[in-house]
Order: sequence, then structure tokens, then C-alpha cells
Amino acid sequence: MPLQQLLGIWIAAGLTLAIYSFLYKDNPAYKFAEHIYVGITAGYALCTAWYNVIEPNLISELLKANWHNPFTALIMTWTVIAPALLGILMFSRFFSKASWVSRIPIAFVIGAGAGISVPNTVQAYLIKHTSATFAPLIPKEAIAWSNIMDFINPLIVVLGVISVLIYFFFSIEQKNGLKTVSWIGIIFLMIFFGASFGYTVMGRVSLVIGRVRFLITDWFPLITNLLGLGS
Amino acid sequence: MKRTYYLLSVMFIILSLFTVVSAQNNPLVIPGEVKAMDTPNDSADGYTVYWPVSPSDGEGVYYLVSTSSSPEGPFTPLTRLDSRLKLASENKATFGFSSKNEKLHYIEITVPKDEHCRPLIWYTQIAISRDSEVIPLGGPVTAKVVSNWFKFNKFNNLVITLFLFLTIYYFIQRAHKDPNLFIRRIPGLEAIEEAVGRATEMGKPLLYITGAYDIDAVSTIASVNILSHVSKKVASYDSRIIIPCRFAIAMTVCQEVVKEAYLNIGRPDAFNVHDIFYVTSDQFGYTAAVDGLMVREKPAANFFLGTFAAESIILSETGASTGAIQIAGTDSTYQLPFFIVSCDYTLIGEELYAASAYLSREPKLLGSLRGQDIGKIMMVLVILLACLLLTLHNYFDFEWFLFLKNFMTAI
Repeated sequence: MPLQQLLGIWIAAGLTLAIYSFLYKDNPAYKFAEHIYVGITAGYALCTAWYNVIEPNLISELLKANWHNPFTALIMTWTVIAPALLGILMFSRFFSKASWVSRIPIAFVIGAGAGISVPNTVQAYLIKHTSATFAPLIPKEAIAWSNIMDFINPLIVVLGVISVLIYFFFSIEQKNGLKTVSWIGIIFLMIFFGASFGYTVMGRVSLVIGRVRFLITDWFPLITNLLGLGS
Repeated sequence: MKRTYYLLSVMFIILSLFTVVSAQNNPLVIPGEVKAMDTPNDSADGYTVYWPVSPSDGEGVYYLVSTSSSPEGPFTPLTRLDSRLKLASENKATFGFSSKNEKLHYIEITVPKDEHCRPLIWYTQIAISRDSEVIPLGGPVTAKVVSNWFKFNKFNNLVITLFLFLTIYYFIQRAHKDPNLFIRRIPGLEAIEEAVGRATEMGKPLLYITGAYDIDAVSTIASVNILSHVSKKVASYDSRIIIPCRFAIAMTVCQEVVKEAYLNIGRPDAFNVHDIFYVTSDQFGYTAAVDGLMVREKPAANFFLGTFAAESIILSETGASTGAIQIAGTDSTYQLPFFIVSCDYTLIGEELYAASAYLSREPKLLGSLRGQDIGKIMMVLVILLACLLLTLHNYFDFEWFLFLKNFMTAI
């Protein structure tokens, strides 16, 4: 096995065990792994931002422009210069007297984010979800035991959607009939949460299995070979 | 026995030959005229060619599509369509909802553009084919390609957005006149005071996390609104709040909000900018750091408000193990179960957004909340009406019973 791969397996196994040691309690090994993790990921994020965003979208675009004709170059590159200027304004936070200037890019980001999310939300959460609920409540075919679920399913879906929507009414005091419908909504929510919990836990267990498999198949053989116990 | 076997074999061969020969003798039927129209709702990307289905459509029958820059050709093969597929009824955005669309085939042709990004004139030839037999369906067709100003298939979005906009605007105006608009009690929020008080009594800090997204996410904005209220409580109780951030801009906003809260309470000297700091934008790197922070600083109360992903259970379980009172709120439906089992109070979904209105009593937020409630009532009515109409459609085959379904699915 190449030396780099050997070292990689030992480092990965050591860090995995160091992170898992937190299950017992906080300890120096966990602290060491945590600091390495945070440092590497922060550094990696910086490099990613440089190579995936700043360098291709700003620097190379500016270098590509024909600056012998500054007016044309400015017109051709204003779509990268404007965001760059907004980004530079964020650095005003280092100067207490001018730190208010940083509110301009922040306002732009918040405004753009909220604005973009409006049509997306209407499309994805209102129209798609509402139209997916539409179904004939009594099927065309005669109801029999063989197709009983075709009859029940639309009723469950419509009842679930309406009762959950009523649970999320904030303008009215929930009492009497509204309280009952809202209570049905909570039951639907809890059934969903239970199902979702089980489903997600299964996914997490597969992550643990992945790590344990790495330790058993990649790392244990190195130890057994080291101790001369390998086959 | 042997004779029967031979007889059956001969019959089988004769039958199969007869079928093949009759299929060969059954000539390909040319359907009606091929037409072309500009593809609606696009930015001059191309045009749509459509033609009626043929009685010959079936297994082994294909439509050959070829294109050229000249009506005389040469035509370059573009694609081959299975005659059983590509019916216009599948493309409601272009052809609408008429039942006649089930009798039409279509294909969208993307037109090349010149150096000024203007679409070129481009011709399409359709031919029907079976095995080696190929028959063109009339001459080549083309259509003038134009850029459309409006996406009519998104008209339903416009109607619903306008309705919500006007409703919310009306209620914001009402909230300005009457700031005491009713909002029902949200249990988790009343625990905020308790949590801050507990932290003050214990002499320990509070930990506040704004979620996994940057400040452009609506959930983070809602979380920051709640942070403003929490920081005022913290400032007035002379407690301490720690906010580890995943994003630099979110960190800047949190610093501004907390600083302003301390100023409003009259304690600008107590504000410590270093308690609001950037960790890393990596999901699990951030989680590892916050977990470490929790077990070392042992905050008396943890707030997890915003959108969360897989880190939710890791954070909230670690917080629970330190004995902190925990208040969570998220719109990530798949993370809610984890918060419900490991936190003392959980704001479910939209309660996170309602919370900021409830706490701040800001007319804009109060009015929006009331407007959204009206939107929910509208949705309930639309669902009930659509289900009723669809049920009636099962028994009385009137096309207009489908208008509501068509309106909501025209996307």
C-alpha cells in the first residue's frame, strides 16, 4: 500500500475515533479533532470562494475586458463590478465610523433573498401543494373492498391538509369546533413527525455503518498486519 | 400425435406470416397537415411543430424529425419520435387543456441564433416511418420565433400573489391603525422570559443559533427578528448571549441587531461584539465547534431558531445533555421531530414566522400574519371547491368542472 494511502487511513481512523470519543465526554482528543475540522473547513471554504466565485466570476471577467476602451469595458463588466463593490463595502465594518456603510450590501442581500423567495414559495408551496390535494372524494367506480383505499386516501389527504392548515391559524382563538379540527391537525402532524423520525434515523444509522465499515475493512487490517496477525 | 404437432406448427407459421404480410400490406396512413407555431412563454428559444395522430400509430411506427436552414434542404436528422408518445395533451403550457390535444403529436424545435442573438429562420420536416418505409408529411414548416413578454402559464402565480399582496397590504394598514390585532398564544415563546431569567439566576450565558442558512433565507430573517427580542431581555437582565455563526453576513446582521437591542435598553457598554463570532460555513465543522462550546460554556438556555438540516439532533442532544433549557423553531419539516424529542419547547413550521410578529407587535408583521391567515382560508375553500367539482365531474362530464384544477395546474 502506498505511504500516502496508509497515512490517510491512519489519520481518518484517528479523527473518527477522536470525534466519537465525545459520546463519552469532552476530552483533549475531541478538542484536537474539532479544532482541526473547523480550521480545515474554514480554510477550504475560503479557497472554494476564491477559486469558484471570485477568480472565475470577477478577476477573469475583469481581465478579459478591453480596458484600452474604459467606457466600453465598464459597460461590459458592470454586472461583476457592482456586486464586487457591494462586497467591498462589507469591509467598512473594520472602521467604526464608516461601519454603517456595510448595511447597504446587507440590505441588498436580505431584500433580494426575500424577493426571490416570494414567487418560488407561491409556486412550490401554495400552487403545487394545493393542486396535489385535489381529488374526487367519491370515485367513479363502485366501492368494494378491493378498491377501498382509493376511496379513503383522498378523504384522508383532504382532511389532513385542512386540519393542519387550521392548526396554523393565528388570528383566531382556537376553541370549540376549531379546537377539535386543530387537534386533528396535531394528530396528523405527529404521525408525520413519527414517520419522518424513523425514516431519518435509518439514514443516520447507514452513516454510522459507513464509518464502522471503514474502521473494520480499512483500518483493522492495518493493525492486524502490524501485529503480525494478518492472514 | 406427430401429425397434430406438424399441423399446429404449420398453422403457427401460416398465421405469423399472414400477420406480417397483412402488416406490410397495411400502408402507412399520412395524418393531417403539419403546422408550426412560436413556442409560447419562452424567450425566442424556438417554435413548436404539431400534427394529428395517424391511424398507423403503434409499435414500430416512428416520426422522423429533421431540420434545415433552407426549405430545399439538405435536412439533418434531429430525432426519432415513438408514435405512441409525445401527445400535445402532455404539454399544457403550450396547448392548454382541450381534450382534442390527445389527438396531436408535437415537438419543440430549438432555433439557432446569429451573432446578435437573433433567431435564424429554421425549417423542420416531419416524416412517418416503419422499417425502411419513410413518407414525408407534406413540405417543411417553420414559424416566426418571437420573445414573449409574459409567461401565461404562470398566470395563476400572478393572481395568487396579487391576492395575497393586496390582503397583506390591507391588514398592514389595519394593524397601523389598531396595533392590538389578536394573535393566539404560542406556548414556546412564553418560555423565552423563563429561559433568560434562568440563565441570569445561574450566572450562565445563553446560546443562540440562527440556523443553517445565510441571511437571504426568510427563516433566518425571522430568527433574527426573534433574536432582537431575546437580546433585549438579555440586556435588561444583564445576562450574556453567545451567537456562533455559520455565515459572515449573518454574523454581521446578528451583531447589528444585538448591539441595537443593548442600545435600546440603555446598556451599550454591556454589549460584547466578540460573543457573536464566525465559526465555519461547513455543516459538521460548525456542529462540532458548537457542541464543544456547549459542553465547555454550559449555557443555561439554548435557542435553535431557523432552518436546520442533519445537525439539528446533534446540537439539540448535546444541549440536552448539558441540562440547558432548550427552545427550538424550524420550518424544516424533517428536522422538527428531532427538536420535539430533545427540546423543551418547539415552534413548529410557521409558528417560527408568527413568533416574530407575536413578540415585536410590529404592524407590518402583524398585518402579514393576518393576511397569510386569510390566504390559508382561501386555500381551504379552493381545496373544498375543487374536490367537489372533481367529484361532480365523475358523474356529469362537463368540461368546466375542471376549470379550477386546470387553473391551479397550468404550470
